[in-house]
Amino acid sequence: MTVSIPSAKKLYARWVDAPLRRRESWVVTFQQLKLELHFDPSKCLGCRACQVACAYRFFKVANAKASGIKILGTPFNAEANVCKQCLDPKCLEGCGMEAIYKAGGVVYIDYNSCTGCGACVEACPFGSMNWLEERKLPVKCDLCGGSPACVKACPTGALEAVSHG
Amino acid sequence: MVKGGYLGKLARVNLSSREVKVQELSEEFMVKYVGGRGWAARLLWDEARDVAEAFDPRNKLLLVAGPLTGVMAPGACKLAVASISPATNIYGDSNVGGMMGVELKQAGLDGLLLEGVAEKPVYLWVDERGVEVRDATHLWGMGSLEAERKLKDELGSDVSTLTIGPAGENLVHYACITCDYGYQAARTGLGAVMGFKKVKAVAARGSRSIPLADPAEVERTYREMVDYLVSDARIKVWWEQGLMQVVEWAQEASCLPSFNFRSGLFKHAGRIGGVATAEAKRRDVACYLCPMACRKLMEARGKLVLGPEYETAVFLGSNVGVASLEDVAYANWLCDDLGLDVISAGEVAAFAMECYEMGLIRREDVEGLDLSFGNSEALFKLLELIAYRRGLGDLLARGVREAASKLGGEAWRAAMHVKGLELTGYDVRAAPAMALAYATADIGAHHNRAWAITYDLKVGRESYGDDKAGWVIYLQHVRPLFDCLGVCRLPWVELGLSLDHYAKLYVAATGVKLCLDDLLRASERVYNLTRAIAAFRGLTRAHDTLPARFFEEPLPEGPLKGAKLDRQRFERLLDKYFELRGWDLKTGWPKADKLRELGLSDVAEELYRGGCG
Repeated sequence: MTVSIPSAKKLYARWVDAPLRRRESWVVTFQQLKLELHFDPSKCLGCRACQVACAYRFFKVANAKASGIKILGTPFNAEANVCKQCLDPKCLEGCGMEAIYKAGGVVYIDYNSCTGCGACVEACPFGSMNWLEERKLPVKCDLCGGSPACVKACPTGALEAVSHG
Repeated sequence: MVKGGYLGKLARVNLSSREVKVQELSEEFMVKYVGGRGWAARLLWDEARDVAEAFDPRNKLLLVAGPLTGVMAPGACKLAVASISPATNIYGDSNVGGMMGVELKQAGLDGLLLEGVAEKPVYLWVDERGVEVRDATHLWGMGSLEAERKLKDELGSDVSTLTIGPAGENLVHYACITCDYGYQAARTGLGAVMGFKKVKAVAARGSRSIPLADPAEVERTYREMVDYLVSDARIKVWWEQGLMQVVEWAQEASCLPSFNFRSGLFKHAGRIGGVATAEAKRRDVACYLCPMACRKLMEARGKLVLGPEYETAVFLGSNVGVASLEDVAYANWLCDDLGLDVISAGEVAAFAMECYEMGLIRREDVEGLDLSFGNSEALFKLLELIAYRRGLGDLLARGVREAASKLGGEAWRAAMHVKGLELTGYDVRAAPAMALAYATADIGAHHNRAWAITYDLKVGRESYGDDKAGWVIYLQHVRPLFDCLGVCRLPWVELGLSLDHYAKLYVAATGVKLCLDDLLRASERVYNLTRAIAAFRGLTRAHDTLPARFFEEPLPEGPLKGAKLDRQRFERLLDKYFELRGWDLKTGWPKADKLRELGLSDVAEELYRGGCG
């Protein structure tokens, strides 16, 4: 089952428009996106279709490096590095511009506020915040609002979106 | 006009002076020769057609990506490597997968042109800031896989590398260039050219997006292609067995070379084929953006090896009589690390084994090895002798053509080559179209220009019909087009992906309005150009032939027992081929009119300047 949530931009607009004291409660009342990305390394071919699909969705480019998901270690083994949507995100803490926010269990970057300082990239302990040098911007997985592009692009089903709860 | 796909930049690296110049390419040049192999052919004609030999400081080594390299398409990662080949002394190229093409383009370059010779071993470092010539004394002498690991330790695991092994350093005429562990620009000895220039490696990392004329159309076409591929039921076999399934197919068609092309069947084909691979493989590996996963990761004697593939199974398996998949995989790993082309090295080994049978090679010549067919331990040692040029390895390192002329006697019978390039893995005694494809391939015997054997199977193995010449020409334009575009041809060859997709993708990526026919015309232009290089360097029709074995020694067993090529009918087929191509029947040179018609007037003028032909 996939759950759809409003787009990140809309969410953010509603969040900033709300009176300050209500912001906390706003976040928790959002519908939780109960979705996890599952990765089966034994099925991964290392073709990077997921990365390119992700980059295309974000920036309309063919560039596996402009992606929120990274497949490492091919051809011997495969390991996917993708945001875990931490309960207590270090990237959010690290951002001096408050451009990272959490809504519905998903951590988002608001590119309108992001200055491209790269502090979030430094702050992420898992290396899941990817840096796009060309645009001086961070990029991370936001689960595509419930139906991830990478999952659709994976030819073997190595990536799966699993809903829980 | 050109809005994307191409970057229009070629870095000229002068190794002698360590100077790097980035050259802007004109739009006319870019489109006329498409990219990849096309550009390489033109640049070699312009700058290296008159070099004395491959190991001439004036020879150039080109690494050129295509307009679709790094763009969204299945297998869009191909890089063309080209030079005047040490094996054939004419134009030679090889296509390599791995991420080098993509990294180069994302670093802002369509390709590299290496000229001159470095004083000391160097490697090239390419990133968005440009190309840097760096010292590589610490890497010299290492195996190509070891050097790659060392470089990736130094520069980061996300860089792509091209490396050569001891075979390249020691100028073995069929040394390969390895990209990202398991991909090789193997044929025509380009690793030796790199070794001669004292370039141990190239490493690149780029993160820029390649500009696209119409990104939405590119994405849509790419999705269509992938959807088509994954919906085809045949893709399951590719996931399961990869390229090794061809072993069983070739066995059934009696075209699986065994014991140095003396037979077209191998009793133990099942042991080194697709089914055995499916059982033994560790994982499936795909190229950039391709769902086919032709490559299989294997383990042999504690070494991880990406492969073997069909050609490897033939040349390190059936053709040398080795019937163990693990031994084939280990020999494959050895070739990868030593930096040898598995096809030529395997064929040289088979040649040596036959000469050993004939008594032309004695035990003491090869450090006491018992070079009997099927002796895999001796094969492993022999590969080392060749790469380090010890003992008779020094002679064998020059390829079967030269080795046969030195060994004398009946050795020439065992030398399976065309124009100095060792044959690839299809027996052509009952496949005239494939025979024609080998005889006329522009780099020497190789199936990548025209894999016409499927056509032989379709229309009759005995037929020498004119349609076969026409079909070979058609293939010789379609297949190299993929090398120009920088994508893999296997989705089209094996799963029948429509060629229109590639034309659509070209237009969407570059914004240049060319249709498929225009692209095929450009491919024909390139084919005539490579032929002109060969003609300029002294090749004539006499070189468009096949080893005598196919004409004189019939197949000894199997359903096609007794089959052999008919020399007269073959020559007639060749006549037809030249006629259809617009080439001179006697010399085999492209006629001046043909060259002019293809927009190569300057080439025609230069070629016919001496009044010959």
